Amino acid sequence: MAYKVLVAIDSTGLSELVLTSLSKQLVPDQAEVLVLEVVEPLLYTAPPEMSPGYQPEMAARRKERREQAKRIVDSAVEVFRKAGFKAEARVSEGEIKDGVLQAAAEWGADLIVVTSHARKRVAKFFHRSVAQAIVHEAPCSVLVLKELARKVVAA
Amino acid sequence: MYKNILIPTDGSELAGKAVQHGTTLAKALGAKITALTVSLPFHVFTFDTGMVEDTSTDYKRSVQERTEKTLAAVANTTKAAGVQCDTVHVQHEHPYQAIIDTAKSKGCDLIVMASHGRRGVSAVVLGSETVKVLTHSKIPVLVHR
Repeated sequence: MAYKVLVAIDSTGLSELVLTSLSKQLVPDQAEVLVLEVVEPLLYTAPPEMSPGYQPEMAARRKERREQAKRIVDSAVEVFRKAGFKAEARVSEGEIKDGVLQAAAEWGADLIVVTSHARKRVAKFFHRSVAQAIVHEAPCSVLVLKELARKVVAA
Repeated sequence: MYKNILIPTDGSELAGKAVQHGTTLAKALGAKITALTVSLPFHVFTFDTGMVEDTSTDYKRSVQERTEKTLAAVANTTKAAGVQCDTVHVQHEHPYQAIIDTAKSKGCDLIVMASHGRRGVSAVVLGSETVKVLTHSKIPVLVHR
């Protein structure tokens, strides 16, 4: 039975790190890959009288973000398929941690791969690490690729 | 591709599973393993029951015995799988720091560790050392469940 690997990517440019790392480490006929990007909902505040005017613009932005995410996951899936993997793409909307964990549970992932951004202490205080939150609650093993490991993985 | 995988273990059952998983991974990748156990230095004033009950000599002896047993178990697992393995024992106040330092000094490019160790009882909450390694490590970390 194929080892199911859920690859959670984002649009920060670390996707390249994930792809380089994984395509070298997994055996195509033994692993099945799901590439997922969870798009966070757009949050905005506006006075009620402005909402009607803002609504179409926000809808267009949401669509644009989903399309951008779709392009990213599709190109990632293409890399895996070219390397001989059975791979599929998925884009969902919601909180990143919840989206990744839900997809992992539904799909029955054996391994979740995430990247961790090297935030400074103050930034970390305000933006709790999503990667760490996923590791905390994941039902399976989690591989955390560090941003600073880019050179190590590429070597 | 990963060439040297660091597997910290405290001899617990889950750490044993991480050793097994790391060995399988190393075999598939053609990598070697560096197995590490970390023990705390002896303190006269402590909450650790082992240290409270033991003298310094007794504590050192029991740590030595546990370390040898733990590392021998790893060596057996890796030998059976035909994977090259180095074993390291470090005494350090902060296990996570010892793990990160050893990874650096031994040139490891991946850390494979259990989601929680001897102290952890909940499957939901991560072990404190695992969290610290995840936070401070500059190389990839595979958390095994």
